[in-house]
Formats: sequence, C-alpha cells, structure tokens
Amino acid sequence: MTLLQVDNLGRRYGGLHALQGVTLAVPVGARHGIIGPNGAGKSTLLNLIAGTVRPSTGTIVFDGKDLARLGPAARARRGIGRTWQHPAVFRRLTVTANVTLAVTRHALRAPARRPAVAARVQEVLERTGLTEHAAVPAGQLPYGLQRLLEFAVMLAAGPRLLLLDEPSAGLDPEETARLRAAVGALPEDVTTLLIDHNLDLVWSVCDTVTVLAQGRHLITGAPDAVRADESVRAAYLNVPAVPSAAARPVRTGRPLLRVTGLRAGYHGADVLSELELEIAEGDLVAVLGRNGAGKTTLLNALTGLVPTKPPTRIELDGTVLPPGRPHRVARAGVAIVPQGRRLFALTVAEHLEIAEATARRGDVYWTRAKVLELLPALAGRLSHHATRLSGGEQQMLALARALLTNPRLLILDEPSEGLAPAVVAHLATTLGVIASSGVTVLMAEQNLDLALRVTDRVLVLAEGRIALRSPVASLDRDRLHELVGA
Amino acid sequence: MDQLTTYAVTSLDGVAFGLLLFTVGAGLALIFGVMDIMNLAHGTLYLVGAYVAATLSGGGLLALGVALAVGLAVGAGGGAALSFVLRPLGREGSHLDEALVTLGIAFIAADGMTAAFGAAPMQTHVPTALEGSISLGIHAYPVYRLVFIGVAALVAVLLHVAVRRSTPGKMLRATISDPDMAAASGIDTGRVRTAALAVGGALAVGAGVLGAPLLGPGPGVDNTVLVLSLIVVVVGGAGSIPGTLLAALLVGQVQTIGVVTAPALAPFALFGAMLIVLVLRGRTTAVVAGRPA
Repeated sequence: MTLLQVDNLGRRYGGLHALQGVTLAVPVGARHGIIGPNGAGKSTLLNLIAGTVRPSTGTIVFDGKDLARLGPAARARRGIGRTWQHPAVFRRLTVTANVTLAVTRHALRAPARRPAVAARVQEVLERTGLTEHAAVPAGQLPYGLQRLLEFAVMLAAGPRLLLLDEPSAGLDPEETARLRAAVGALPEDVTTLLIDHNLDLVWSVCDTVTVLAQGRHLITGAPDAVRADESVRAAYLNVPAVPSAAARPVRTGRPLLRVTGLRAGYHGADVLSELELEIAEGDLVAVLGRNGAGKTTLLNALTGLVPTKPPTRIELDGTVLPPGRPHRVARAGVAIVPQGRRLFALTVAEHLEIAEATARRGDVYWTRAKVLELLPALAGRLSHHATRLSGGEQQMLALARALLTNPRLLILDEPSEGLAPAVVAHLATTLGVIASSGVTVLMAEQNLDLALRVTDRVLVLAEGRIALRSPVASLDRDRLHELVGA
Repeated sequence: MDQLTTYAVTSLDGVAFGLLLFTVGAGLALIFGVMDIMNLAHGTLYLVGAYVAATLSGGGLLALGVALAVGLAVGAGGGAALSFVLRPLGREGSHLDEALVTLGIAFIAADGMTAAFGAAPMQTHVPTALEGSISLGIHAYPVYRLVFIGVAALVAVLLHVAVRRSTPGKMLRATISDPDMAAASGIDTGRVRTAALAVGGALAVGAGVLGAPLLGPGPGVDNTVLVLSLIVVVVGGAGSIPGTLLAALLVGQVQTIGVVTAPALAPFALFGAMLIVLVLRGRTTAVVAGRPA
C-alpha cells in the first residue's frame, strides 16, 4: 500500500528550479533513501512534504489525502515527523522534558494521561540510548547527542512517516552506529525518508534509493542497482577543477601558534585542562576525536569564542592573543569557518564586504578576485541572500568570509559536514591550494578519509587531552581508530 | 467640503506627529529592537531634547542650530553612557535587569528636570524665520510643521541608506544576526553596540529639540513618548526602517484623525489598531521558509 505519493512536484525560487517534475511512490514501511549532490533539491523535497515550503507545481498525497491545503502543524498531527539539518531542540529544557513535549494525545492515539506519557517517554529514551542523560538540559549535550535527542523527540510523537534530514551530519563513528541501530530498530509500519551524505549509512539502512541531481529525478531503485549506475557516478562524484595557487616558499618550520596551559569549558566544568599545543607555519593539521572530546571547544577557545581561564596563554607568532576579545584575535590573523557555518542574515556580497573591511593589515594574498576564482560557485550568487544558497555554497561562503580577513591561521570546524562527496573532494583540493598560499590550516573533522588525505599532521583529543600527535605519514592507524571509535 | 478640509489638515498634523514618533521610535528600534537592550529611559532622552530647545532656542535659526547641536551631543553622550552603565550586566543581561536600571535613571532624571524647570509645561518658540503659515491651496498651514516633515523624512531616508548600503550598516546587521560570529570575523561588537546606542540616543534627543514646538516639554511627556515609541517598535517589527516608518505614520494618524472622528473611542483606538496589525502580521509570517540544500 502506498503511504506517500508525490506527483510532478516542483519548486521555483525566482529563476532557480530547486526541484522540478519529481514523481515518487513510497509504500508503507519503506526505508527510502534520497541522495544527490548539494543543491540537488533534497531538502526542498523534504520541506515540501513537511509543509514548510509550498510547491510551485504538483501534488503530494499522504495516506490517500491531498496535503495541499494543510500547514506543517496539521501534517505533523497526521503523522509526518521531521528532523532538521541542524538540531532543533529546546536547549534550556532537560532531555526528558524535550521528549515529553512531543508526547501528545495525537502521538498516543489516546488521552495523554500522566502514566501513559511517562511510559512512552521512558520507552523512547531507552530506544535511543539517552536514558543516562535524561536530566541534562539539551543545550549542554554534545552535538551528537543533540541530534539523537532530536530523533527521540520525533519518535515520541508517534509518526507514520519520518523525514530525516542529514541525521548523521556531525556524528562521530560510534554515534553514527547508534543512529544506524535506532533507525534499524524502528517499528516496521513506520515509513522513513532519509537524506544523508554518508552513503554507507544509506546503503545499509535503505531498501530503496532515489538520486536527485539539479532538482531533477535521476533514478530510483534498489541500493545495488543505484550504486552500479553510470549516470549516478557522473552526477555525484564529478570533481570540479580548482585553480592552483602560485606555490610560495612558506614551510619555514617556525612555530606560528603556541598554546600553553589552555583551560576552557562551559558552566564551570573544564572541557580542556592544561592543554599544550604548537603548530608550525604553513602546516595543515587535523584535530580528531569523538564528539565531546573537546575539539570544538579547543577551536573556539583559540578564536576567543569560548572564554579561557588562567593559566591559558595563546601566542600567534610570538604575540599573545588577548583573552575574551575575539575581534582582536581575528584582526591578528585567526579566522574561523565554524561548525554549522553561522552565516549572517546578509547577501553573499555583503559577507565579502564586511570581511574585507575587517581584514588584517599587511600583504593581502586572498583578494576578492582570487577568492572568487577559487570558489567560482559564489561569483554567480553575489546578490543572493545566504539562506538561499545550497549547503555546499554556504560552506564556500563561510570559507570565503574567513579567507578575505587575510588570516595567517585558518581554523575549520567540521567543514565537510552536510556536503556531498564531490563537494568534499573539491573542498580537499581547495584547502590544499589555501595551504600552499602560506595560510596555516587547523581543522576538526569527523570524516577521517578527508582529514588524512588533506592534512600532514594529526592531533587526537580524548577527554580534553591530546592523546596522540603524529605526522600523517607515520600514523599508528590502529591507535587512531581505537581513540576515535571508528 | 469644509469638513473634508479639516480632515486633510488633521491628517497632515498626523503625518507630522507620525514622523516625530518615527524619529524617536527609530532610535528605540536601534537600541531595543536591534541591540536587544531594554531602554526605558528613551522618553527621558526626548524630554531632555525638548527642554534644551525650550531653553536655548527662540528667535533665530542659529539658536535652533545651537540647540540641535547641543541636543545631538547630549543624546550621543547619553546613549554611550547608557552602554557604559549597562556593561556590568553583560551582553546576555536580562531585560528585567536592564529595565530596572534604565527605569531608575528615568525616574531620577524626570525628578531632576521637574526641579530645574518647574512643574508647568514650557512654551517653545519657533524661530522667527519659520514662523507663520503658508497657504496650501485653500487652507493655511504652519511653516514649521512643513519644515519638520521635510527634515524627518530626510532622516528616514538617510537612516535607511546607512543601514542597508554602508559598510558600518552591514556590520551592524551582521552583529544583530550573530554577535559571536561577528566578533570572530573581526568586527568590534562592543563598539557597534556603543555606536548603536549613541545614534539611538541622538535620534531621541534630536527629535526632542526639533519636536518641542509640536509636543512641548513638561512632566509626564517622557512617559507619553516612551509608550508611543514602544508601540511603534512593536507594530513596526524592530529591525526595519521602513517598518518603523509605516508604524509611526499609522500611530500618528490614529492619534489625530481618530481623536477627531471618534472622540469616545480615542483611548482604545491605538491599541485596537495595534491588535489588528499584530494579528495580521502573525498570520503572514507563520510559515517558516525552509532552505534549499
């Protein structure tokens, strides 16, 4: 029996066809994956089904009922649940409270009496492995657990159709395994529509896979058939060429960044304690570790976004960076591409203009012209609002904003999160070009393949300490996998 | 016909009053709507401006110019001082704390001004050059009000252009959208905050100096102005200059035309209009736009 029938569905944004003529039939109980490059229209499709975006053409029929006239809340009550690309939880409420809010009479299909609600909450927490965190405010959970919590909140609402938008983004390997188990253990009558760039997850969880490219339907079929398809390879794994930077002799080996006694954390508890770190000019360094190991805290402490405590001392090329003054750290030459991109509510051109206006003084290598040559996708989008860009373009904009401030140290927090394989490959080449221009690069990354391909040194964090430092060439892979849980 | 003329003139008064509220309200929108600082001393700043005008101006255009210059300096200084006073509360300072501090300042200042200028409303004289009326077709209208309408409209245009097009305006919008990330991109967010408060304060005091002949200084005027400008910010949806302008013009019309046409309903008309706008706006912005991936 077909639960969801989508016919000739399309959505235009101005002159841009985000989605065009897509037809899909999803039977009850299906595990349906949707993959495709960034900008293929995957999230648009999900938003159209969830009702947060209205279609320009076509119809959506859910359980025999045309959804055209129903808003997102009405669709949720009918049993369509969704997650977002970035976790949407109530940060001040505890895990239990977050889940409890989702248990309504619609979810129970019975009056919401207290024992019934409590039992459902308990069941959901156990199913997602969140029981031990039940009393923690959601905002204090590490990123990976926030994603699991979002998944739990959706489960608690008792959905018939689950829309999962990149659930594995930002998860470490162990958390991804937990997510895979949670999706695998869903009741059989719950239908799932899964968007993810983690293809291993998609192949292992889904029974049917649809590929979208440039807003159009490319192919739908069993995972094996889709994997073997030539047109999928062409659309998905094609890497655009990157202009090479003039190689400049920059490997001086001089220490650029020197950190001693770094202590930082939120709400009193130290996430990092007495951390020592030195990075040589021109190096490309990866920070690896499980979620919660302190990677983001380390990167944000370096940029001044997270307050540090004595005896922290951070030096850039011999000059001490003032604690708690992020704008002075930025103007001294430290730029960050943060997790989740954190773009402003401005157009692309306005982002670039601000970055140029606040740039570090001195020789500017990365001018606007050079940056747009490196990231050509942005050149045609200058007047667009940042929220209207695809995930890949947003990441490019975050990178452009950082580069135009003329940094000496470029920090990237999970740059590959939410990016399709082809864009990740492009990112890897791009980072190589940036490093060869003399900018030192420090990146946290869950994607081990990318990290080990791009960088020449790794630091592995575990429980707020550096558990392993090594050049990539002589890396003890077994020890690495043990530490990151891969 | 005669009645129609009365309405037309009243409506023009409404435009003048609306633009007065716009100038004050834009200052509050900058401070409250944009920098998220609950400033209950905003009406006080207007009152300071009105007293400056009543004391210094009268007679020549030069005196008005001096009063305006003094007013703008006092306003900018006052706004910057407010930023300094509120600094210990931190950027995450709660609105309640900020409200307590600024309300305390408002009370002390109101008492001080009553002690200095007396409890009776003061007359403000229009400069001789701008005295009198000119004929608009069939009806005469005070010259000063027309000039005021022109100046306030110019302020609206300049503000809009500054926020949308200038680099500092873009930095301001970046700071609003993500203060931490703005700082990490090299924007001195502390300075942006102080500048926003200074400009907001200067707008309020400047409105007081120029608006004194329309809404003169006296005890209680600070509260009237505060409440009306809060309404303007709420109705206008903080953060957009055109929105603030439309809201101010609406409030101006309701306060003038409304009083003339339905005196009995006048006390409720303003809040009725506010209710209607908020309900309508709630409907149209309820759907959250998703992002294409």
